[in-house]
Amino acid sequence: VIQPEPQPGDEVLHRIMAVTDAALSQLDNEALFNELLGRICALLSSDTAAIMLVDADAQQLVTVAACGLEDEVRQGFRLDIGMGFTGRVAATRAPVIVDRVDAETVMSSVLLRAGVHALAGVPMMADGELVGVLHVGTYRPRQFTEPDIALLQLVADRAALASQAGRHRAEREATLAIQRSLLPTRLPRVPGVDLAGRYVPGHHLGVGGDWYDVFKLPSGELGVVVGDVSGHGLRSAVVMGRLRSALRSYALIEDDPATVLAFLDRKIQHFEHGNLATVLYARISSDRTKMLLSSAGHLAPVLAAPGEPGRLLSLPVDLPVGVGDSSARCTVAVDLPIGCTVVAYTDGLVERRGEIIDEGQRRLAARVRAEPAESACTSIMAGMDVSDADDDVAILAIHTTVI
Amino acid sequence: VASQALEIDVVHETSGVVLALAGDLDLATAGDLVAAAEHVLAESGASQELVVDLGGVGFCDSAGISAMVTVRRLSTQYGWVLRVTKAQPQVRRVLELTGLTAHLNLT
Repeated sequence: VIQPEPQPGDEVLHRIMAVTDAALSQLDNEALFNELLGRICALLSSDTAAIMLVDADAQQLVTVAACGLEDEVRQGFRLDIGMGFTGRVAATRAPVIVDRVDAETVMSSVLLRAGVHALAGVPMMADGELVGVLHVGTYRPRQFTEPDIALLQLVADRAALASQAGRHRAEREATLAIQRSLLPTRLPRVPGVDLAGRYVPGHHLGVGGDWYDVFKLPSGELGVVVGDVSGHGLRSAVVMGRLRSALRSYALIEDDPATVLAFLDRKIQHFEHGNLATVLYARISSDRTKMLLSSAGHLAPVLAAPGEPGRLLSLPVDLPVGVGDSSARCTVAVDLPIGCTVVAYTDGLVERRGEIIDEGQRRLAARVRAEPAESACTSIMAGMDVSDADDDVAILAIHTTVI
Repeated sequence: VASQALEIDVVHETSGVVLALAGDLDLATAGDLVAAAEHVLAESGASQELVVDLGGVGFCDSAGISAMVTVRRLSTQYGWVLRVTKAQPQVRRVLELTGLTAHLNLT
């Protein structure tokens, strides 16, 4: 048997594969893309190469890496999907070849000024989604062939996978960073209460939009919030951050918790339309003996008085914020015996598949005793088996003390 | 207990359209419900009743609730009336505790 002579391209192709395989685990996309572009230029004897990625919000393509066209990257070149040469590749999700580059066929002034004569572009797809476009060009006339396109597509597929994996990781890290920066691990030290909180990102679904917040009010009262923006990922975390700030602002100008939540509802309907959040907002009196609270579709907190078992507060529940139905909201008053512990939480703590939510709430109530906030949190987290939870879990414990 | 895929049966009746769901209504499947409802609302002519039959749904999380609120909003936009029926106890409880039984017209 006569082995075919190895083609000069084979080794380069092999190197491209090696690069992408290693990069898929290391995920430094910028370095990977630059490496890939250099190699594809060598492989296809092309003079330019570039990767443009989809900016889904803007429905545009953005040049993120280039070889021979570095100006496009520096200038942050953007193109609407459907416009120009790469825009056509993105819109049709099919290879496009341009034999003669001119202002009719190509929109990038960098490409035009660089004197590129011929271009070939392929879509970068991952999981059936368009991730970006990879294109190569030459200064001299050139007919890109079927094998050229096949090779380009192979590299584009690899780059797409690496890009997607990197983006998922980056998004998760960014989401977690937002969540961590907005959820105080050290809660304010205020007279008459001690406070503790916990946040555990969801097991399967990743980080979501749960939050808790505690702030001093100018009157000496204390504002306490636990909320849950539906959905997961960066978007939910960003909406959570906005709602958290907005609620703080409304709490400064309005005393009644129900009215604060009504303002928040208007805010979300107008500025964050389509989002939904459950929120519990409570105002604790400056002598810490009374709590006014309002629930926008949020689960009722548990209260344990000294020497008594924890009990679920009976509380009228109004619509979540963002539902788009401005029905009335109400505020209820709850007495806080000195030395009691109140625990507010999100549904991830008590909701389990195959079980009615009351079961989880009962388990939680049985766990809550009148004890310092930190040990209450520890005991709850140990007893509720959150390792099993799909969803995020946020809890906030408030223990009242003698002032 | 692992997540169950969601099956959606679309049943056309004289008074409207029933979306009969079976499986889990959670983050992974919530988008399917919204897409199915949107399709029905956009394709069917005159305004009618949209019934979401939750009889086969054993689990519903906040993403599922959010999807139902979206379906209610879409129904109103198209001039339809939404009704949610046959919720199993655990799903019914979640809707009650979220204050949504009246808004979603849960029967």
